[in-house]
Amino acid sequence: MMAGLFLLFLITMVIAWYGKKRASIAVFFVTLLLCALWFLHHISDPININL
Amino acid sequence: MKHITAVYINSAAVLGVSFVLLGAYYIQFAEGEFPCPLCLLQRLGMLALAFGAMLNLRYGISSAHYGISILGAIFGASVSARQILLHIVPGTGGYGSPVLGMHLYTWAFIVFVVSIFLIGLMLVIGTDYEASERSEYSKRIPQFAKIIFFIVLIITAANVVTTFLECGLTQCPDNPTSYKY
Repeated sequence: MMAGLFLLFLITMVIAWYGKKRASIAVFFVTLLLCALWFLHHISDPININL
Repeated sequence: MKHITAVYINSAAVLGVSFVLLGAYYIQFAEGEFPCPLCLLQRLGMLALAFGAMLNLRYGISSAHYGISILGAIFGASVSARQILLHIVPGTGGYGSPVLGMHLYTWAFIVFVVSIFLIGLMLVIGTDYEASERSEYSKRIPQFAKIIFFIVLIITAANVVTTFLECGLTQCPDNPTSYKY
C-alpha cells in the first residue's frame, strides 16, 4: 500500500509534466486523501502520558 | 517580485526537499536504519509539499500551487507531530538515531512548519502575475527548472522501489528490521 502511494505521487508528477495540470491536481488530492486514510489506519494506539 | 525570482526561490525550495529526502536515504542505506510506516508517510508529506512548488516550476507561479504545498505540509506536520508525541515522555526512547540532537521526525516537523511560514511569505510578496506571463513561462521553461523537476521525479520513483522492497504489497511493519525482498 505504501509503495502504491509513492507510485500515485509519481503518476501525479508525470501527468503534471505532460501538461494535464487539472488531472494532476485531481490525482494529487486523491493521493493525499489516501495518505490521510492510511495514516489514520496506522494510528491505532491512543496517545497518553502515564506519570 | 519578478516572476523569474519567484521561480528561483521555488527551485531552491524543491531542491531543499530533495536534499531532505536524499538525507533520509542516507540514514536508510548508509546507517542501516529502516523507515517505519510513519517515516514513510512523512516522506510522502515531503513530496506533497514539493509538488506545489513543482507546479510553479512547470506552469508558472500561482497561489493555488502554494495552497497545494500548504496542504501537503499540514499532512506531513500531522504525521511528524504524531511520531513526536509517541516518544515525548522522557525515557521512552525514540525511533532511529538522533541527528544533531533531534530525531528525524522532529526535524521533519520543523521543516513542515517553516515551509508553511515561508509559503505564507511568498503568498504575500509574490503571486500577482498576469496569466499571460505564466503562459509565456510555461512555453519556455528554464532548463534548471526542468532538471529540478526531474530530480524529484527520480527520487519519487526510487521511493516506489525501495518501499516495495521493504514492505511489498502488504502493510509495512511498525518496526522494520529487514527488507521483504
